[in-house]
Amino acid sequence: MKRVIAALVLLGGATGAQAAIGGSVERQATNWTAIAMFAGFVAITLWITGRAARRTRTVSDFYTGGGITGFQNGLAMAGDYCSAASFLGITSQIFNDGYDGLIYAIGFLVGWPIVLFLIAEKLRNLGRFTFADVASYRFMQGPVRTFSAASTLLVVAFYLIAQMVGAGQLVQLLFGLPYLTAITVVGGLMMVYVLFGGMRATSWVQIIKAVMLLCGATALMLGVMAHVGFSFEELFARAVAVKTQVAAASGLSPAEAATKGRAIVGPGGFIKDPVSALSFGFALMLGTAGLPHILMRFFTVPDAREARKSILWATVWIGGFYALTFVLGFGAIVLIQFDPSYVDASGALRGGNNMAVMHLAHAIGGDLFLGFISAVAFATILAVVAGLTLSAASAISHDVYASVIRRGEADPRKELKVSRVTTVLLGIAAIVLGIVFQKQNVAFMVSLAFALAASGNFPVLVMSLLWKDCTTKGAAWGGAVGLASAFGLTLLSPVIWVAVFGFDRAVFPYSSPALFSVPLGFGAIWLFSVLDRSPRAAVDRAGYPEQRVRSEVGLGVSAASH
Amino acid sequence: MTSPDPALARIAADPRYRSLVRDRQRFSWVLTAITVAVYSGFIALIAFDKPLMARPIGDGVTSIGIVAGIGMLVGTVAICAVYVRRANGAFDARVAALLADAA
Repeated sequence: MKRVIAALVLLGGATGAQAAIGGSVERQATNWTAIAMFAGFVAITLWITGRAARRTRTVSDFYTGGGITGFQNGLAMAGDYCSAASFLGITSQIFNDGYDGLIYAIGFLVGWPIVLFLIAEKLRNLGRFTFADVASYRFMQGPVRTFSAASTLLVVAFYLIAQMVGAGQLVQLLFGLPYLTAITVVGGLMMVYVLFGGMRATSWVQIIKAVMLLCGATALMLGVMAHVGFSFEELFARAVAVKTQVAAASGLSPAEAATKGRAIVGPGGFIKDPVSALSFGFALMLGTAGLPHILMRFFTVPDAREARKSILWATVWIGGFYALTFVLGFGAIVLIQFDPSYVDASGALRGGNNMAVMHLAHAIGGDLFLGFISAVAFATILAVVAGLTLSAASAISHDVYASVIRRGEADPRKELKVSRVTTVLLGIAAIVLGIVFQKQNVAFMVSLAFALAASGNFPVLVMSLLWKDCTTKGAAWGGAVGLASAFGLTLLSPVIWVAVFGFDRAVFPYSSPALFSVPLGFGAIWLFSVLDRSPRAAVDRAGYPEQRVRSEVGLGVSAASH
Repeated sequence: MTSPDPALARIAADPRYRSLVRDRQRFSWVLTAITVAVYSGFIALIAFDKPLMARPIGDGVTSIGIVAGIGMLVGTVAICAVYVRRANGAFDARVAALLADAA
């Protein structure tokens, strides 16, 4: 069980930016190369934000950025999705245990086809700005939008806290800046991007970051492969030889050492309990299809056709990125394991246990390359938090203010103002939360965000799109049941009950709730709907045929550009 | 929301619409089932037969698990490409014909 918890802590680290959490964090000497490179990134993105600001006048500009192509959106999705800690966490995981890092990576990719097959085109055909446009299409706006907004805020809050705390720790580690400075810089910059540049600036920050991350990782991969004569077999063979040597040095017999060395090319301790593994896998897979900041990106393209292309490109970049991290992890074994400037006598990575790829960058390209990769990691965090903030601000201004409070009659200028005020409040909240949670164990928060999205948003979207008898009550209350059960079961699971509250035994033994809470969400939507005999339920059901035709053929689709 | 459009009723009554929805729905559910089954199978293989995944291919070091894992990444992209190719090609052409005649 301990191994599973440790793996999960790492898993949280794999999506969130809290790469540094869980290990000792040493503040490094101030790294001026990295800071200068990061300042360059900030200068470019602020210039783009300035340009975007002049063209962000309407609410549509703010929420959709005036339209981009499927190719650009695919890159932006990759920028939104690949976090600094996938980069640091997965490579370090592979450096330590080998193969298991790949299992996480696959889980993060495999949700995308589900989004494509079941949701993307219908979402694009029906919605304008947020996924709640679609979830509430034929229902009473108040209850369903309120549920969607609450669920968006909850998912974003956990995701954001993990990112902020991770950002603070990471920057402390990579740049040698104090935690508070790092948090304030991240919170302040994301506020500026979203506040002035809206979706247009956010998209471009994500696109630039994705290109930087992919180029940086590719350059590292080429450096690694040059060392092994561009042969993967040679790469794995040398990594196995290194691990065998490490095991032999620890006093094992040659036969035992050889077995231990070989162990890195096969699955290790991560998957012990198949139920937890499947449950976690389903949280990742279905959660991707319910993440509000990802779903929002579908409204930046003009039609369903481009929405589908977005996903294809997103999977190309995200899949490529994870394949690169796999090579980099093995490359780190080959190149830095025996270098005392990177790994201390006990075999631990210097600077914290997620530093493998950073040391690898230094080993391959010296200080300058290390600076570049550090700047990429920081840029990565910014791109992720900007996307999160934008989706939370839209949930408040578009779903709560314009649709629920003003009942769809809001003055667009006021709606835009509300979204900007919300952005400022969110920026401040993010900084405060980052400070409050500095010393807390936040590793579970990203996996919790995925589980919440999988159990609340995903069933509501699927049922409202595909089941004719779904009603307002079913969507709002059923969704709430899914959300609450995911939250409750996580509280009772080892990651919180044992690791945070300190109890001996978890009430709910599995590490992720999704295998149970997702069916619960679907079941509750079904139950509330079939029991619903209200006059409104008749209206909801009568609205299905029209919604269905529109969702299938895109008649009356709202253009992302205005 | 937009006001009811007379074209909607015409499309809904069109037999080509029904066959389009049926074909596309079947296609997307089949691909969803394949994705879920292959992924669950991959996890199950790791959970129940670790030695098989660790077995090298041929005389080398590269294991079945590495090939399977990279295959999962490539396969995920490939199955998306299969869907997008058909949806943006044949299916969209049928949608366009429907919309043109209903307008």
